[in-house]
Amino acid sequence: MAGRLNLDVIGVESFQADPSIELILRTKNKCEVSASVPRLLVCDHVSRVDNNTDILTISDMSRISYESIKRKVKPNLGLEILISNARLLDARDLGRWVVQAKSLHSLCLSTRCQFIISSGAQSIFEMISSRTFESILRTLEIPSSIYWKKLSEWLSSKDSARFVKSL
Amino acid sequence: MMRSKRRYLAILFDLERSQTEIKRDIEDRFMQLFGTIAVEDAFLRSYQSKKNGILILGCDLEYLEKVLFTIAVVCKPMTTLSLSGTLRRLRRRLDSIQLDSLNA
Repeated sequence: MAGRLNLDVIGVESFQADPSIELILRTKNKCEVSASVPRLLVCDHVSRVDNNTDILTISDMSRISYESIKRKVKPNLGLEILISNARLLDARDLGRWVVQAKSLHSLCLSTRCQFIISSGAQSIFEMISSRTFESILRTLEIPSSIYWKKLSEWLSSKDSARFVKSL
Repeated sequence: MMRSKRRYLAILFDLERSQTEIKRDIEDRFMQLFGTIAVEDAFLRSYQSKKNGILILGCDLEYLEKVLFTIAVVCKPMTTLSLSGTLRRLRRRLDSIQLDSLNA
């Protein structure tokens, strides 16, 4: 399915199949799997961010305090928003979601964090194709070439960090 | 009147819902987000699909980005599987897809 949607790398919460595309495990617990498995440590609350955290998932952008994020986050942390959360909003809140996503992107630029948009998919029907990601980025007024370039660089930096840690 | 360019999208959806419901969901969400004039201008039309669980939706090229964004944020999960400038090419592409293999 990921191949059909032109996705090269996907983040998953468990490895169950032998995939033909690159997978990265998203885990909430750093001891969950062996160091040889590529993984990103995900956290869903700003108060739980520590030095090992790779991604802070922001599920409700209207409730977050930008000041606490500024205080807590370190450069190179990924700040992630989920499209699956936007699906649940009514039209008015979805409009707000778009504006808040733009603000979060600006915050990421000023704090040198990585802005990440994820599908948050729980089923194949919720997966999002690369072409659809482009239109979401356009709606958020983020140049897609810059977004993908920065995301690739960020993922590569995480890969090298993992390599150094496992040595 | 000049004929506008069209784009055709194959949308994968849960079999528990009908093509009519899916098209209505997309139209409703599009209208909420971009307004009644845009929904008329976008000229959303559904077309016959041989495959169960796939809706073929046509739209005006000018509104393609908005339609794709709308599909990504419709309450009921659905995803754009393929996109083409002609209905024939899209159907040919869909013929080559084994729907069962999409779960892999």
